[in-house]
Amino acid sequence: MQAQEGISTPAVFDQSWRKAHTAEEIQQALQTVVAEAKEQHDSLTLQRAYRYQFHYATKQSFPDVLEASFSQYYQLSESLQDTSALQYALRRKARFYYDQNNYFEALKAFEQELVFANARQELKDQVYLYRYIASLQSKLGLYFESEATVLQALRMLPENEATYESLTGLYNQLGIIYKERDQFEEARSYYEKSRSFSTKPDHLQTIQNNVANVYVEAGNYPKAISLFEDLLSRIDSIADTKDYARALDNLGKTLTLQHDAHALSYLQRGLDLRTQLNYATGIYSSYYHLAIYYQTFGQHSKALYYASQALAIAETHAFQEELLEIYQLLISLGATEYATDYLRMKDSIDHAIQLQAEKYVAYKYNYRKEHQLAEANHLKYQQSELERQVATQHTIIWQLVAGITLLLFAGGLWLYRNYRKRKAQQAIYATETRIGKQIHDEIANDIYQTMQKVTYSVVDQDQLLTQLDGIYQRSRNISKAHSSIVTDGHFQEALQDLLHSYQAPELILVSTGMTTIAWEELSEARKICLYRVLQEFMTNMRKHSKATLVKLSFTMKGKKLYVTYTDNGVGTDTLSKSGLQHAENRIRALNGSLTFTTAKDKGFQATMIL
Amino acid sequence: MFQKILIAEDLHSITEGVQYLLNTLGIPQIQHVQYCDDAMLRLKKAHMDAVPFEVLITDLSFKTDHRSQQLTDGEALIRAVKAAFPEVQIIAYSIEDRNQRVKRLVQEVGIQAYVCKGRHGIQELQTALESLWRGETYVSPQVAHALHPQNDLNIEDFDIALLAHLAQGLSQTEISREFKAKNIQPHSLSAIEKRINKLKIMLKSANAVQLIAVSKDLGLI
Repeated sequence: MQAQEGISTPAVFDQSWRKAHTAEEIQQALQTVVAEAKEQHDSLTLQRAYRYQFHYATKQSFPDVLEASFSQYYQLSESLQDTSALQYALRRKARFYYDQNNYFEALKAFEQELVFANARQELKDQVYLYRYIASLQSKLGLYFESEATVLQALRMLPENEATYESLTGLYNQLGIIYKERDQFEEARSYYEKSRSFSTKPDHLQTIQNNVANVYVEAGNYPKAISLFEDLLSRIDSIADTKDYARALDNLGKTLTLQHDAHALSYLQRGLDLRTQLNYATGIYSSYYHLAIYYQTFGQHSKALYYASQALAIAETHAFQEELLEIYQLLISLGATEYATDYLRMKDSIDHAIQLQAEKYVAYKYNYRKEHQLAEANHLKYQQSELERQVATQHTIIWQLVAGITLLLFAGGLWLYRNYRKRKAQQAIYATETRIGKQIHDEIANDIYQTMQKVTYSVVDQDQLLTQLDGIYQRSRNISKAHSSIVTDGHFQEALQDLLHSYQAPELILVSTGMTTIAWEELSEARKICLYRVLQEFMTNMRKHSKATLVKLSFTMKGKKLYVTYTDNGVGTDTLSKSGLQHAENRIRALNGSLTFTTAKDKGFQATMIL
Repeated sequence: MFQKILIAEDLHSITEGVQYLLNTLGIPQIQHVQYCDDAMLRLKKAHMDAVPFEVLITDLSFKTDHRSQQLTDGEALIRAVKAAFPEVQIIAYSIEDRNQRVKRLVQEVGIQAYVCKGRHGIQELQTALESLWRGETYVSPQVAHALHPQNDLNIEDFDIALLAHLAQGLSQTEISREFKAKNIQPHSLSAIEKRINKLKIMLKSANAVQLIAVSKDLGLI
């Protein structure tokens, strides 16, 4: 309870705080921290708490608890992309299962960690993992896989002082593999190779021990004996008691095999040292070898005694392999009651190993398949990514092209409109000037004259009114000339009025087809253009042509309006003189066309297409 | 003389001139409005009261102001009055002198008089009222030619066909028969005679020979 109150977040991570509390209290405190971190969305603290929880789980022996805390920690670290945390988690998990003899799960975790280690090119980690993996594979009887793993590790390891220890281990592993496959010569040569890299004396001793054991297995007892004797002479019995005891035991074992009675003293001394060390595996081994010794020399009861001693230790410590071994010995000593135990054990062990091996192979197969699938997916992804990039590039190019086109277009439009605007302003200015001049010439002058008259002479009212009416009419004419053109439903009327205003007694003016044109379908711009152009033609006709016959014909061909003007006037040799340049400009502005047929004294004909 | 006249005119000075004239003529009931919609309302009310207006004198263009109107110009008012109260005689009194407008109002819409505002506007208005009282129509002299056939410029396909037949030496009777056979309308002898006379005016020809010569010169046939 004390733990739950007042646990500030860092306290639970504090070494001294943790030492002062029980595991249960720490667990409770961690749970509080987890809750708080979740509430505050403090993922780093949460990760740390999960790490401790996982750490405590690895110290217990409940795989389900471990798995739960593992996945919590692992998933969070994954989301934080904390690869070193992921590696840590996998390694602890692997070690946990390794200690529980669950080789399959251990292998799986180690191999998962290897993926990260390979990705990070962490040579030290990689080799460490390869060694564990190779060792586990050989424990599962998967010697070929194990060998492949070792070779893989060897390929990546340079030979220098820093890697000697790893090389020693790896070649030692190869030796083990070959020994297990009863290829003693190869095993020995690998052990020798392993020894050549070894720098530490205890490693050398282990290897020499291994080599000697290979000779034992191979039946070369004298060679083995000489190696064991050599080891005994070189090992410091006080500093390296364990190795010394092992050498004694092995020498005794080998001598036994040679029916040499000297064996007993070695075995006895080994047992004594191991008992002093309270080294269970060693003690078992010594008891076992003593039982063999007595069996070899026909002392049945003593053999049984040591065998049962060995059995007790194996049972106490649940040494499975050893149990199997001792059951076998006991049976051969006549204790047939162990036969069922032996069979059960053998089945169980074989089964367990086989099961794990099968599981592992299946896992590997699936993993490879998944890996291939993932690889294929990744390839596909890369390809689609590439395609996407290309597509994006295309899109960008097109967008660029479109953008530039748009800019050019907009720029052009802007320039064009500016040009038009300037033109329009010029036209407006010209018109204004003209109107100003007209008002001055036609109106102001007349009014001035009238004023003069009224000032200096007696004017008849009627005369004055007539004069004023003249001014009024003229101002109305100016207004009419510049007023807007009717382009609504009465355009035809406006056009007829226009033409009629040029009517004169000596002139015959006719038009054909005017009533057949659907004027409402023509745009305002086209109507205005037509009106102004005809106005120019008619003005020109009245001013210069001396024509007595004028005909206008209107026809619609498709969407185009054809208007032909014909007169019988004097005609003209130059267009500019006729002042029809304006007309042509107007028509061109609307993408229409104007063609003249004229010659002096041959009349004038113009066809416009609008 | 008329007893009840309505003036629709938005310029006060002009209304005064018209009112002065009508008073001089001794017309007892003179009403005046400045908006076309108001004019229509007055006409309706008078009609309901069974004391209808006899004459409407109206301007053609009315300035638009803050009051939104259904009838925004004189022509709209004229058409509405023609439809609702055909017995009311109408005089258009306008500054407008465009021939085709005059022609349209007189010949299509059917107003009784068209008077141009101007130097002699008031006098012409008086003449117009007197003509109407006699049951005649009136159009100011400066726009009178609008109604003249010479004002018509348009040569139709029918006219060209007619001229072509004439040029072939056919008599009016023969043309009438020919048109009838070809199912060309109109084909009555009188219609053909009328049309040929009109063409003579349009083409300023004294007789058929000159008519054909001018038609040839114009390239009509």
